[in-house]
Amino acid sequence: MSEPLVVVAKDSAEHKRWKYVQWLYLAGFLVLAPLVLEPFEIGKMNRALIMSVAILAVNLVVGFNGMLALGHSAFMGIGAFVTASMVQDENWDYWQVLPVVLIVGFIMGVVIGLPALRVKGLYLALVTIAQAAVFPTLVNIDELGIAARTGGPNGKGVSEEVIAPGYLEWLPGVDGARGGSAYRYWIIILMLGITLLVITNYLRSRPGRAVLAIRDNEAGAAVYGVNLPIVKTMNFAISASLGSLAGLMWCLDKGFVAGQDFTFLLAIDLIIGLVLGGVGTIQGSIVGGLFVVWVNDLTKRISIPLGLYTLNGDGPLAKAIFGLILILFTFFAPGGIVSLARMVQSKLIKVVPLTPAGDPIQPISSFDPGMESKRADSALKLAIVPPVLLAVGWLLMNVDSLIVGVFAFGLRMTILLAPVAMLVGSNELKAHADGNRADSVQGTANMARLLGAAGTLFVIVYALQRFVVNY
Amino acid sequence: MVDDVFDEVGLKVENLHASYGAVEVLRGLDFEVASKGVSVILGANGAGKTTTLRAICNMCSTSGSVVLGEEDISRAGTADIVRKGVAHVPQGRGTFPELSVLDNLMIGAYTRKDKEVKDDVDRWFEIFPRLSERSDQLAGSLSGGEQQMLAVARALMCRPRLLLLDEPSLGLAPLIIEDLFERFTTLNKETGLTMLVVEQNANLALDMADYGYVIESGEITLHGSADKLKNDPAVQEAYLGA
Amino acid sequence: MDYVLLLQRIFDALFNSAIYSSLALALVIIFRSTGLLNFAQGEMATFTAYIAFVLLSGPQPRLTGGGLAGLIPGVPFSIPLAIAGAVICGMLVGAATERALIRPLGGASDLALVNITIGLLLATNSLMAQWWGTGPRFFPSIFPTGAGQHFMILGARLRYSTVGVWAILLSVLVLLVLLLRHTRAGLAFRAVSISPSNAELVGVRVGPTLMYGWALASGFGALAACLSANSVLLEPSMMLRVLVYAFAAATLGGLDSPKGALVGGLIIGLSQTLIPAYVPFIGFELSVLPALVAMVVILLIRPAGLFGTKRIERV
Repeated sequence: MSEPLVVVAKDSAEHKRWKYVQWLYLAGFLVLAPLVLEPFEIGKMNRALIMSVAILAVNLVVGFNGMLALGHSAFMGIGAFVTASMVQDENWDYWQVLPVVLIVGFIMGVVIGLPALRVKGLYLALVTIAQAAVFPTLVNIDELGIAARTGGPNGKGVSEEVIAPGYLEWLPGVDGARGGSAYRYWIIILMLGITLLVITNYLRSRPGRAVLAIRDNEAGAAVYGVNLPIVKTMNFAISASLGSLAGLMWCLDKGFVAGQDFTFLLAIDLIIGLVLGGVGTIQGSIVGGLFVVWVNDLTKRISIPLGLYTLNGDGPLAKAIFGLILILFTFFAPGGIVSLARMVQSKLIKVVPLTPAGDPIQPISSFDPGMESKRADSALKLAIVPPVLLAVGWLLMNVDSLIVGVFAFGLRMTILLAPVAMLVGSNELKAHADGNRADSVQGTANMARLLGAAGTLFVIVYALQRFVVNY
Repeated sequence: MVDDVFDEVGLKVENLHASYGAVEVLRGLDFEVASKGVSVILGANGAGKTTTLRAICNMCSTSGSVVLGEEDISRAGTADIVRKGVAHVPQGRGTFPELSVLDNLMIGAYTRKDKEVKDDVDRWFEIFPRLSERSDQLAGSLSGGEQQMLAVARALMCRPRLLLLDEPSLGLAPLIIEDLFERFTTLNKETGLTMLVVEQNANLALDMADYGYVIESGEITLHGSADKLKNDPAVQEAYLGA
Repeated sequence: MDYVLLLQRIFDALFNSAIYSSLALALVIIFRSTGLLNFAQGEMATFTAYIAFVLLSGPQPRLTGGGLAGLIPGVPFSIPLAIAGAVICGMLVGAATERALIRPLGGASDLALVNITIGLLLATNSLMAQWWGTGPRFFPSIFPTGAGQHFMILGARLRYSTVGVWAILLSVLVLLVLLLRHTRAGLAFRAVSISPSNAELVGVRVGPTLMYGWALASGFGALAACLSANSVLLEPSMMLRVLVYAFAAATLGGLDSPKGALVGGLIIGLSQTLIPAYVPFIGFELSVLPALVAMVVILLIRPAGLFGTKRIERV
């Protein structure tokens, strides 16, 4: 599959259809998650999404502004403790705490960023690591009533769990057993959505462009009139504010915060998520958060007997696997999962940009392989692989739960390709009807269309069934 | 100045290709630098002049043969090529801004194990008295002209058999350029050091050189003795502003 | 003020200071030659301390590597010999790390290199936990540590082990400064650290130079771990805390200055002991705070640290 299977002009009807399908998938995924997952898995999902927000905060500084700041676990901690204290001690509502947390985070960002951003490169990395290292001990200070507010070494619990009010019980998944965590899932999704909207717009704005310019060439940006200290500090403060928001979400979700939750190790997790997701991309932050939490969970299930002893992922080796993944990614996929996904996407679809006049810069027909077309074969493969994986997955289910986990994940990913197979199949048949394909293509294209349609149907039925079962 | 400092050796380059990633910058260059001679490569921005020098030192992916004297050096690593006697003064000088002037000269002699390093330092300090005055200063604090002198002195410290100069006039005031080129000429006349110079300032370069090549889009389009090139109408129009 | 007590506290702080200084020194060497911070420095050092431990113990039931060590003639070793073995292992590990993980990346970004060393930190730490367990183990001291093994100075006790650690540290430092300032190899180190490509152009082979740098640094790290393993007890994470202090020490002194590492280690070690003792609201729990505040304040005044070289930037 070296040639893309589908070639469309940018903003053409077909391109828009592709985009709709992508959005549909995303929406389907979001709605299904609280329905399909077990309650404890929803909790994990929540944690993953919270990590995504925190990683986005780190990304804002590291990925978009090129400043190596590694201490955002402290900002998360600040947000979490402020929230816990206000909600528990002052009986505030989370929505009332939200602006306070954002402002406190912003101020902390200015206070720390103003001096810290004077130093550069690895020096900044060290200062911020110090910040991460010192935070868990700071909450134990007895003076100024800090320990009383934070609960000191015991941590601080919020006695009232966040549950759905009556008028919101219609939300998918919000009922009975899993109601609490599913409701919090929806709150987190809402906050994440707003955050994404704000941050994308911020990066496209005037200050956002200045932030990117500093990353690409600091001296150059200064020459063009960018006020380095102000732009850097503001960006750092916005990032800190976002980190605190993640802390608020943490408290809201878990109902308990302790200094030991926000150590240097959390800071490392954030960096891992950032790198695995993709530095300097917004999608990368989201994927990174999911990855950090779910992979950590997967590795814990590894258990390989190796003669003398068993390689146990649940023991000390969990971290080793993470370390290894980090090193492998740095070597072989420095752009993270997002760049891998883009690579796969580029094999599936090519979007031809438009000239200012509105025509494709190269006629779409020039990409047509004509009689030599192998697209139907590739589409058939796309349609066949997921069911085969599915079958193998069923067979292996009894062998090891980990393998099932991996397969289930792979399956969910690949089954998503069924509509592509269907689309390519019918495209090829159309081309054949126009006399632009060899006759031998017909059978394969038909088969691809059929299997693709079956796969698509399966996805839709599965989704509907889960939906119906839960109502 | 002592005559026997530099060995006599020429350079012969055949079918030299070089590329950065998928972009081919040099497309089969053939040229020579006579032993004790000065050759100059002229060309517009982006023609591949700098890449030619980098390719000789194997600093980018290359193919073709580069023969120094009798020895094929096209497969050797950069550091080894330097050890074989090729000194390269790159664009941007190639000095170490955070080392003192003296340390810069000492590191220039890194490949040498003989006992005359100190004598050589004194010799270049004598020729470039400005450097001598600033011997303890960090190289980064020197002016552009002084840095270029330091870069040349640094390159000569390894007692090269061939000196590669990449646009030595870049960013320098006209008076300083003239002074610098006079020194290069003297150096060549008095020591017989073989030099390959890449320049945009064709006038000065052709005055100093005995042979010249004109390179366009990675290919040699014209070559001949310096006098011949100076009188060539095409060269006059494109590079001499006549 | 009780001056004897003050002196005693200073003496006590000196031991930790020496440990911070030596690990900071290891960090500085790698930063100088590679321009890179090795986050795994502490874990690599701990790993070699375990090797020393195995060499000291010889073949024993439920001791990973013990059987392997038993194949070496002379095992169980005496303490100095075991430490020497650990230092050599450390150098090999350091060189191998550079060759296998750092060099293939070429001139990647700071972030990529930080990632590699963080990955290494996680991997090494959990590998040690897997092999040797997380429980602390007793590691003998190379110096006499019993009661009465100390000098009396103005009424305060200065332990032999403190004097010994400082003697080792200072001699190592003097050797290092001589190496960097007055040898060809030292000059090559400095040149590579400023610009690898320009260093190549004067005939310095960059790869091997960096590999020696890593070997040297990891050797120092191993020494630091073996000397401190007695007082902090040998366990997989023993150097993690020390690493934070060493980072602070190195930053404070200037990441590219060996002298700075020494002074930085002293400042961190002393402030860690003295400030909680004399400033009431900072308990020993918070002893990390003053050290880090000191670091930030000094960086504010001198962004390259006390003795660091200011990077000269030309646009």
